[in-house]
Amino acid sequence: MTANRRVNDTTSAEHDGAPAREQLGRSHTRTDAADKVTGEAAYTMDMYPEDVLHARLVTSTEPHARLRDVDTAAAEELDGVVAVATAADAPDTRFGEFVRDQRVFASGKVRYVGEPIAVVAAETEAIAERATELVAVEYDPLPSVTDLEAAGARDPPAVVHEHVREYETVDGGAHVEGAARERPNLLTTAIAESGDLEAAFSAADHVFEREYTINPLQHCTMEPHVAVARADGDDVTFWTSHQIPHVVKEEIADLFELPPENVVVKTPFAGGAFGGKERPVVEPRVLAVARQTDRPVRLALTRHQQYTSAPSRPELRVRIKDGVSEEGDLLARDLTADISVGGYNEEVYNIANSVPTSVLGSYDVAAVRRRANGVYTNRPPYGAFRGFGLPEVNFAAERHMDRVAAELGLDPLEYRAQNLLEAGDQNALGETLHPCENRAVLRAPIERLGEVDVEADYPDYCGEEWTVGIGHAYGNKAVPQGETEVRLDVAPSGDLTARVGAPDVGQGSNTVVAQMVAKAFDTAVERVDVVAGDTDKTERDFQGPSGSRFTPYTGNALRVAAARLREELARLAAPRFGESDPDALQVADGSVVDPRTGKEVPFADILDGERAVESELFEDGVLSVLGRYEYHEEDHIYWVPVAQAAIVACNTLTGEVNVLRIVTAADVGTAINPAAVEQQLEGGTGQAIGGALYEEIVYDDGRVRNGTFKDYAVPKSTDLPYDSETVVFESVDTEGPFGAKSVGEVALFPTAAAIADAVEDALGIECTELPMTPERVLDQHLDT
Amino acid sequence: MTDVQLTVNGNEHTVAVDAHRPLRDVLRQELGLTGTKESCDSGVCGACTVLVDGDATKSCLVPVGKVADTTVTTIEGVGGDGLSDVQQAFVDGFASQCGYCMPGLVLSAHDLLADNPEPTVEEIRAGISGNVCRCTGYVKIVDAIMDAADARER
Amino acid sequence: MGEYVKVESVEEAQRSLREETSATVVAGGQEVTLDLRQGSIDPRVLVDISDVDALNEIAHTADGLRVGSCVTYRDLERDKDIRAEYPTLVETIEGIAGPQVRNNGTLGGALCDADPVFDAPTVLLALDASVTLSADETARTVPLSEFYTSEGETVLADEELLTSILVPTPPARSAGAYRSMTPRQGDSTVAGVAVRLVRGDDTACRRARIALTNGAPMPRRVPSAEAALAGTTLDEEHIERAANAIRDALELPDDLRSASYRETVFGRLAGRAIRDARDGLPEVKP
Repeated sequence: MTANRRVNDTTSAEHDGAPAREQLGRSHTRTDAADKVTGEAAYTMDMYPEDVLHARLVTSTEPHARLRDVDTAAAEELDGVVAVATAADAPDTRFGEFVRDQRVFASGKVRYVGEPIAVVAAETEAIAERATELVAVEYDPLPSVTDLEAAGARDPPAVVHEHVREYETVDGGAHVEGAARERPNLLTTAIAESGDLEAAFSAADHVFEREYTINPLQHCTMEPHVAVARADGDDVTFWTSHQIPHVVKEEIADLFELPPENVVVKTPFAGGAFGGKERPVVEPRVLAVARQTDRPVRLALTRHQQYTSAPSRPELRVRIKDGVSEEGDLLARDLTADISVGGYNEEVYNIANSVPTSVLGSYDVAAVRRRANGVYTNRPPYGAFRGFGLPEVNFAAERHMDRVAAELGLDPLEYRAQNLLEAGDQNALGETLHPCENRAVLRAPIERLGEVDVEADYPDYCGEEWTVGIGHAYGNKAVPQGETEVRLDVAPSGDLTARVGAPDVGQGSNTVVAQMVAKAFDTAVERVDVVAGDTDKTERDFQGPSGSRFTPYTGNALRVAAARLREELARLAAPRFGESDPDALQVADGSVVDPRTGKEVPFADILDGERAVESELFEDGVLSVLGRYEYHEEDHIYWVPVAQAAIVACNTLTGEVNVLRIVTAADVGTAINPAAVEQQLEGGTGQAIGGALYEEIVYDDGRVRNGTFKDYAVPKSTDLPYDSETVVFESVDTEGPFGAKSVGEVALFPTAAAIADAVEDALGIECTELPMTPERVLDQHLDT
Repeated sequence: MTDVQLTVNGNEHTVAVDAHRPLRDVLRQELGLTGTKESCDSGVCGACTVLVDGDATKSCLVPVGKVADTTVTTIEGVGGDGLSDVQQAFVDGFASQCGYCMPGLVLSAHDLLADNPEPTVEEIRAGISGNVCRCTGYVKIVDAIMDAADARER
Repeated sequence: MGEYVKVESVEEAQRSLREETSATVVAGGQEVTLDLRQGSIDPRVLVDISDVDALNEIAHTADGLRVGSCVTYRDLERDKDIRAEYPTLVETIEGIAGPQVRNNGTLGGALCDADPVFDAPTVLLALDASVTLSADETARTVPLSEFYTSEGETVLADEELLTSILVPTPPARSAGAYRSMTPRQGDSTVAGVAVRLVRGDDTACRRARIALTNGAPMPRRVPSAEAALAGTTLDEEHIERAANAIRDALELPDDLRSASYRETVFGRLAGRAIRDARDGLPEVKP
């Protein structure tokens, strides 16, 4: 139906040598695009160093059991096996985020099917695989618990970590207190409340309560988790497909008691991450065996192990109770999210603690209580997935807005508008919503859909078999406080090198970095080289591209660094201008310029290495500065409002749902690279449709049943709408670099709710569980 | 182990391998041609796609012995000194994000256009349904292939 | 692990199979490579028959369409005559997996795999196809409906090769339809129903063929459902009976979807497929 859309200004037409004066707001061709379409871009998965050994994980086949014996003798004897590591060969200490609950290899007990028990390193992958079959593991099975409700009870069928209250906490982590301690599998509980909830509910004319279920899914990064490790005494080097190399470095150094300066972690490009590569997963395991040899060792998870032994998106149950007035004012909201941790805490502690405070940017609710519980289960561990649990909670919240509107006979869009948190309002945390285009964003998708003539536009879907529906939802991504460091070098030639700790995992960060730095120096984007993801060459960045924090923190850190360098260049150049006030000078195209006279002094003249450059920033022939940026004034630095409207066709024979058209609107602050913004919005929408309709990890007593792309429905080209449109609003946010806000996660927030709303429009069914598989849809449809 | 003779990207190679080994592994690990990717390992995702006598083929589903008397083209053999028109269209059209699926998609696109020089959007979507992309939602990929087709037409 | 032999004739293939105790025949090679990867087979020799001319022929004969067992799905898709004469078959083939798989996958390979989730065998059953199985000196023709055993294996003997498939010329005044449910494009089919109806002089339906994908451990027809339609006017009552017969005949393999969902879907798809085929018949008054 939609004609071929043109991306804004896709070509970077300034290759005639003349500098581009518009570095921002320009769809500069991505600097990595050519290498990626030719297959020349480097990924860890493609690394086969000379002499490399191939490693494979041996993992638990029991969801919960005492580990009676691990016999590696037969594996070690296999021809071609060079080294084997078990718990005895790895540090005994536990590691983990906020709570140290995990060991490199299972010791004493296994807590999920897929838990690493050993690693085998061999001359070939085939031998390594064969060897894993020869490792004899004896288990004494224990009762297991995988049901979230049962696990969270006072007397669950099994206790996953008997001594969790004694585990060491780090970085401000804390154990549960008081009555919560009576729930043995409760890892963490967090709460945010404001106003008088009881009074507000009493005053409400109507109270509506519902429970929503979101089932687990897998990131399905095209590149698996993979790392190559080389250990030479205390010197350890990793190449790894990871989002945050500096976290890997710190944690490995800490865990293996190595001097941090001896640990180097490099990520070239990563073939997708989506939050699944934020914690050390393969690195500790491959190091345990790499230490036994002086050869490099390569460990990649098999695709099935991606489902069992790498983090996945958690299972959540969200209960919402809303109190509203007859006129449609949302007076009170009580929300509780129970989140499955899995056998160990990959990141659900953090997710649970951020849920209560992070879902507070959409609506103005006077009395609020939000709770989140992280509960251990004998399931493979759950962790971050694009949006950090918030899109899943938003699904529940937006479905509930629709529910209330339907019950009260209100237009759902107007109900939302009536209760929308406005710029200048304070949310329940006392944070003030920055000026943003939330009202326009809320309405834009439905406005863009306009009058839909189903018979004219979708003739294939008219008739008995299909029913068409339209739905809508809203959301916002609150980007948390944080900090990071970068390094910026300027050479006498005017060339710049931006060193950022965060690798480009596909979102185009390297290109945007180059654009921002070029802007800061008023020079061509091509003059900026970006070094990313190498702990040896970059400053400490413990956030990486996670939680949408790259844009504000790396972006602003680069601005800080650029400002310092410009200042220094001006100071060094000032005498050349006979100028006592360096502030009057600017930089452009590799020169310091006086805008009043037009006089230019090239950097080369003032950074001439032949004479000692009188600057503390001058080293190795370049002017180099560390830029640090932090924001801790409020819990969140800014919000990114987003909304979507979807047209779906539902098959009344089978329950299949096709998304025919979807429109996504977002306020991105400033679109530094409009095409890259579209990429994130379109791509995030596609991924979210997968989670709304197709994707679910199916377990049988903690065993993954569908751990391959054959059985796990990651969407193909014909499963996602071609007619996916983005409407970008810009409202400069003063906190964002050059006014830019983040776009990496935002598209996922409203999607499932918009589609569920559309399915309800088509079939009259409620859809409170994700994904809305054909079976679930047909079941409900036939019940009505 | 046998000596298997392969012609890859116009070059002849003789590799001593198990003839049953998947072509994908021989390309990546014996010939160092890592442009062809390993991803799902179950024949679904198409990241391992190469051309065998011009036909898009999943190299993880082909024993290397099978291609002994054929012409294999990998991503390294596409384009000459520069980018092919399809590759250029992908670059210009912002079709690539993490890039891991790109080699397979470029080859599938070349095969698609060779078979069907004027595809509709639906034919393109069907024509790349053997290649999984996790990042893009496929929209810009379809547009880029359409652009390449349009450019050939002119 | 080991040897790879590309044969140039059926005789050469049979000789290799005779001489080698541990051999597997390869056509497109895709399923075999997966099986090797999973370790479910480990033959010493792979005997590749895909280059044998005789196995790649497509012939329109007096009896019908004869397709060599190594003809690829792609070859069939591209053949305009086949598309015109067997539209249901070609439309079904277009929906199989993706382009790469269809470039290399063969009808013969699909039939010999005996996988109940494959679509092509189901449609071929509904078209009354038969297969030629060749041993050294002899060849026999087996109706496809007798090609599968109840345990989900084939009657192919060790020394036999499936060399060709015959799809009889569709009777005059016949029409077919195939309706299926897959979670995504190209996935393994969750439920599929193939129908071919032949109109009678006095009745709407003289003869019916109904076959199922993933309704049993092997591709299978449902004679009770066929009987429910034969000689009837193909009205809603009889269609409902046929759908019920199909549900009763199901022996559902394990699946991520529940049995009750699949039973429901089989019934609904059956109704849809029968009506679609009926609507394709000339001058039918339901």
